[in-house]
Amino acid sequence: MLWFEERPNVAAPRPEESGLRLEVRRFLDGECKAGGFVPRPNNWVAFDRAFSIRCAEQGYVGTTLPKQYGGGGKSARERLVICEEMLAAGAPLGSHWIADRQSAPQILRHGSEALRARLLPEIAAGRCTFAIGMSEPDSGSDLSSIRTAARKVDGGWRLDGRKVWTTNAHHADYMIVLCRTAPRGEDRYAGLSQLVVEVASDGVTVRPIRNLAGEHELNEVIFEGAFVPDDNLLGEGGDGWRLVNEELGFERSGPDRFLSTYPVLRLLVAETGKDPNRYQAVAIGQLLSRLLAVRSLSHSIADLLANGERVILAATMMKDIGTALEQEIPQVAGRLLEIHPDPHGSGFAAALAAALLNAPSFTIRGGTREILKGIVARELGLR
Amino acid sequence: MSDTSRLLADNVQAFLARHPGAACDETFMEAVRESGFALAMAPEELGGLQCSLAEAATVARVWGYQAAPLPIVELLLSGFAARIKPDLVLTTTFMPRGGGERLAAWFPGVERCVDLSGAGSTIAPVGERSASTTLATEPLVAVTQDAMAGSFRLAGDDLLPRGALLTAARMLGAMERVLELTVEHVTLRQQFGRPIARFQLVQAMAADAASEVAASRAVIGDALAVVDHGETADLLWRAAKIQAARAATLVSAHAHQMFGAIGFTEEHELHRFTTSLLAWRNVWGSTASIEKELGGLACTIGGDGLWGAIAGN
Repeated sequence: MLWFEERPNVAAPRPEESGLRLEVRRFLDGECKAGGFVPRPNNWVAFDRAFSIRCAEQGYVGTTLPKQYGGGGKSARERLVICEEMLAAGAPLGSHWIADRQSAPQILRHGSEALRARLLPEIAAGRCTFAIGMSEPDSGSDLSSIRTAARKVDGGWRLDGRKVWTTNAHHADYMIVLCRTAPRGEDRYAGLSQLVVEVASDGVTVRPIRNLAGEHELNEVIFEGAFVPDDNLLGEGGDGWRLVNEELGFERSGPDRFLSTYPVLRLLVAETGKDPNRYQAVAIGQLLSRLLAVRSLSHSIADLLANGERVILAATMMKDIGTALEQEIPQVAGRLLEIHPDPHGSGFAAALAAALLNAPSFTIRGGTREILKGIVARELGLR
Repeated sequence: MSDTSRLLADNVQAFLARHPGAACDETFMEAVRESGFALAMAPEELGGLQCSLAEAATVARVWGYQAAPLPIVELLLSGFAARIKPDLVLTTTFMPRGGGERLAAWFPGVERCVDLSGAGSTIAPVGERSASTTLATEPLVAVTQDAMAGSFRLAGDDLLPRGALLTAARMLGAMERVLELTVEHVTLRQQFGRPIARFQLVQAMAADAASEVAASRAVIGDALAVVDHGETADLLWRAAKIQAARAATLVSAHAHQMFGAIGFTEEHELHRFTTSLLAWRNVWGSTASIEKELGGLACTIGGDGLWGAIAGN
């Protein structure tokens, strides 16, 4: 009875969250009407420092960080509410998103006290942008094969190597870099570490990689003897594989894995109007049912996390089907409305174009579909 | 899962284990009547257990997991309807089959059906047992147009969301069992000198099936909880039923692919789950009709209000 014994999710409605939801929604509505941002799909990667600072002033950044580090001391559920509202509104979250989602929890759990005291208040204030240093030119899904390496020197480390596909590195203040601190031996997962690298350091060069939509979001980052102080090591050193997998857990399990194209669904429903034909109604019903199902799965993960339970299986499944939905929405929307997707247009046409052009990245970034299915299979006991 | 649900699940498991090879007949019906499970949702003064919908869904889920006979959803709902009108023995009509005639699930003692063809659910008397069956050879009863004439509306009518969610729970149980059987099969079955679970295509099919089951479990659980809280679940119950149907399609197809020829035989138990799953997609509202309703609701709400309807407020 493997499946039946598993604790089912029975998420009762939580009226205590509705006040927060309305508050965030009102803030975003005001921002949008005042021209503070233009709603777009996939906008959680878009960099807007001023917007992030305004969010932080409302307590919407670093929500779960302890108050002693400038955070809100709130629950993971409250953060989930805030994130969902921001994503559904298509707000530009790129300046704080990665720091808030994964870097801050990583520093809080595994950073030195000096590092926590210095960086966490800056993150919570919305003034600090982080980038992810995992993939390399020869190491994508096979992360344990990375070659970026740090050697021990007096008072710290010297870092050499290169990272790619680094979102917003050209805006980032810091980057958590996975690197080798001991040569690769029998155990390919041993001898890895995570370092918090200041991007403005000597010996760090950021080069743009334009994506197929012509946008500059991705970068290549080159390290040539960059110095990283001892305080900036996460964990004990050598335990980087475990740490990076924890970080990926945060990266994979959030609502940004099913709401990236929600703004397209919203505009699709608005453009369709009150009197859909049968084909339109059926297709919209299918998308909406899927959205609600993935959202329920995502909420069950938040509840498991709050209870300190293992979430890898549920989180991996959620990212796999959630990102598939993100890709399906613009495809269906394009068939239903037959409006020319225009990267230089506005409204539905622009949103559809942005979603279609960015869609291929959804099932690659944060763990490819192939890797995710492999993890699920492993959890089922098949490998 | 509440303690009551856990207890119910254990009791239903034990009950079904005492009736191996049970069929949709008077003998098993009598045993079910004696067990009291069918009255899970009936009020205490009528001998019921006064269970919540989520608790009753546990009964349906275990029933699906064991591929047990008798339309348990209809029996549970008859108990629920007893709050409004005692001794109402109900079944539900399926998609029309032409000539204005409809079919409904048959079981010993069935008297009336819930007809979903109009607005709301109408209670109508049933006719003779039909020669037709579901894909899974479950017996059916005819509901003629003449019978419809003698129909009446049930006051306080909220049978449809409950019927749909109990059906989704029964489907969930069946899918959980199919997944379990499939994982076992691909782990044991050897080809080319290794278990077929070692092949990436097989792993991907199993992963997809498991994800569908997990999403179904999550959204059905949420929808049950919301209905039990007495809140509006117009979007959520429909989403849960549509998700269960979508999952049933994929889980059945992938399971048959992974089982190969043996799963296509009458002798193997796989079809007892998969053919039922295919049939249940269109019970208590056909999948297409519920999709159309859900999309229509979204359009009525409009783009700007949609997120509020999804997330609350």
